[in-house]
Amino acid sequence: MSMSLPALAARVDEGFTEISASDFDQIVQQHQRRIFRMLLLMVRNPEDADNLTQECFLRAYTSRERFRGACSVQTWLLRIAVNLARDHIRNRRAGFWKRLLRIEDESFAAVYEAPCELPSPERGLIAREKLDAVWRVVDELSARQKEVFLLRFVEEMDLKEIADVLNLRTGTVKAQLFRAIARVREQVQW
Amino acid sequence: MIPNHFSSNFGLPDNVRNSLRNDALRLGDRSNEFWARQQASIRARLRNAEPARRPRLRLALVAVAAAFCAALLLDTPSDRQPAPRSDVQVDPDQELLQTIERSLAAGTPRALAPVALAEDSSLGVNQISNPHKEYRDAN
Repeated sequence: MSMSLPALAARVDEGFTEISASDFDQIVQQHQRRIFRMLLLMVRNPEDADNLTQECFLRAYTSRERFRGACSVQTWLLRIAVNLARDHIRNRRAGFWKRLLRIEDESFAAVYEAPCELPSPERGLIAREKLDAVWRVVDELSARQKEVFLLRFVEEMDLKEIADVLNLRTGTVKAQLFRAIARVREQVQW
Repeated sequence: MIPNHFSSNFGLPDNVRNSLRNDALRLGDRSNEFWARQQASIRARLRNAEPARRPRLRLALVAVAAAFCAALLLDTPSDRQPAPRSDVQVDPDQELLQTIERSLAAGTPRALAPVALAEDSSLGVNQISNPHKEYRDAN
């Protein structure tokens, strides 16, 4: 039986244990965009991001007994997603043939340089080239700095939430973010 | 050192922050069909994952139950030998001493005779070397 989102949220706060597959469907609908976006920016490949998003929800569902409501569902899902992305990137590094053939670089270009068809008022704030330059620097950051940077500026999470997702202390998050921003500022002038 | 203004604006100009955020939203934007297809895939994977977990659990339970039954059958009361009960508490040290005494009284077994000879000869050597030791210790 399906239930309203507030009722579902109340049950989620108590843990996923009693939540059926149909209830979980609503959690998927609520969070899939954010999880996919985060994974896409981390792994830079739409197909991989799609697979990892599915894997993320599968893991969340199969290990729902372990969710005790100590953090929000969003934080918990993002934590799973970040771990999946880390594993994926590590495995991808191991397969150097792909990089040798520059397949990954092409998909990277496809992700970051996709033409924007819809006019957006914010687009005028910073030139496309400059924005691409920022993304390139972000991509060269260490994995931890990149995660912190994306969670802060794409997902607009505060330091405490980021610390929860990454299992870090808030001070560490702040330091990583500071270094990441310093690096971006060094490389891109505005 | 992290500057004081850092916590308020994070060091990135607002226009850059807004542009990054909007760009990221645009990059992650997909059609409704994409999201529906992804939901369907997740649903299908959940369906596949659940039955795979249940038989494994069931199999484990059956195995545990079978092992328990087998243990019960092998350990039936009729097969059990009543353990000899002795009212006298035996001191293990005393028992060991008695065993040694019995062995010494019985004499050296034939098979160990050469060993016994070797022990005797080494005893003799020790007796010879002992005066040296005494001399060294005296110093």
